[in-house]
Amino acid sequence: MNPASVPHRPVGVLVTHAALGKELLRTVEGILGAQADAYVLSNDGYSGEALSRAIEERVHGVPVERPVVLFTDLAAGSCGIATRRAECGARVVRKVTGVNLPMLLEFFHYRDTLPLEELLPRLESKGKAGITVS
Amino acid sequence: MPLLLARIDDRLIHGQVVHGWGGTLRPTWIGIVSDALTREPARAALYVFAAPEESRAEVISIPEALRESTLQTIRAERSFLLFPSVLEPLRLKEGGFPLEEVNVGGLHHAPGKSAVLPYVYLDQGDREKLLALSRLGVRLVAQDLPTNPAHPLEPFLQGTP
Repeated sequence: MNPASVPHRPVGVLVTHAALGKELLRTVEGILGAQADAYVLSNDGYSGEALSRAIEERVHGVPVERPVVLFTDLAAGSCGIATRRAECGARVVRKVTGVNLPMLLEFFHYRDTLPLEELLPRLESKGKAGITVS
Repeated sequence: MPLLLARIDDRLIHGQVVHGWGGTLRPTWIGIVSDALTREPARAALYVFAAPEESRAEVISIPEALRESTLQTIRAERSFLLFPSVLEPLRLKEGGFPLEEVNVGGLHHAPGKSAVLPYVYLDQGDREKLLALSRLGVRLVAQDLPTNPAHPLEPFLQGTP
């Protein structure tokens, strides 16, 4: 693995249904080891509006120079809608839907070495490439 | 075709509606009744985008929902109506809309509200509006998903929280 080359490590936030995000992160850590700068928000018990506010609070709790990548499961679900609706001001916040394990492994593996604009397309391609039907 | 689902859900279009109810009932038109949302087109667009593939969603105001043209759409399509709160179905019923049953599917925790079911939190104002709906002859059923039990809501409304 290349030495760290990005000035500010992006923070990953999983905004997902029920315990999906917690378990995805737990699985990532089982493969890559413990991860700092990683957070989980479940939609359990939240209205759409309250979930948007919780996302905003989470983002604003991250140091301002750090980019944030919000991962959600269903684009057309409460998490996807609340994520798109969240207002994060001038912060660098990127939003990725359809989260899966290959995508997350790519993110956590390369977030210290690849610039965000290079990393994000890889998340999409890895996430899609991880789906096969036979 | 009669109205397939009239649902109070503060998340409006989301996974349970798209996949749970939508997968079972296959709506072709979803009316989101919210005066507030009609004034926020960017936010409304998020919900319209989230409609199931085989359906189209529209955000309409309470007065628009009461128009004859809306009833014609409902009769012509496989229709859902979604309400963000208890207020909208009450206004529709008071305005003469032929609402027979309302599904209370998602009113989540907020300050001042207490749980009657894991997915239904009510304050006194909600209870009063639901009781008013019930007195107008609307059946109130709490049910988050079609595969889960349906609970008549009236027994939960009698006591003060």
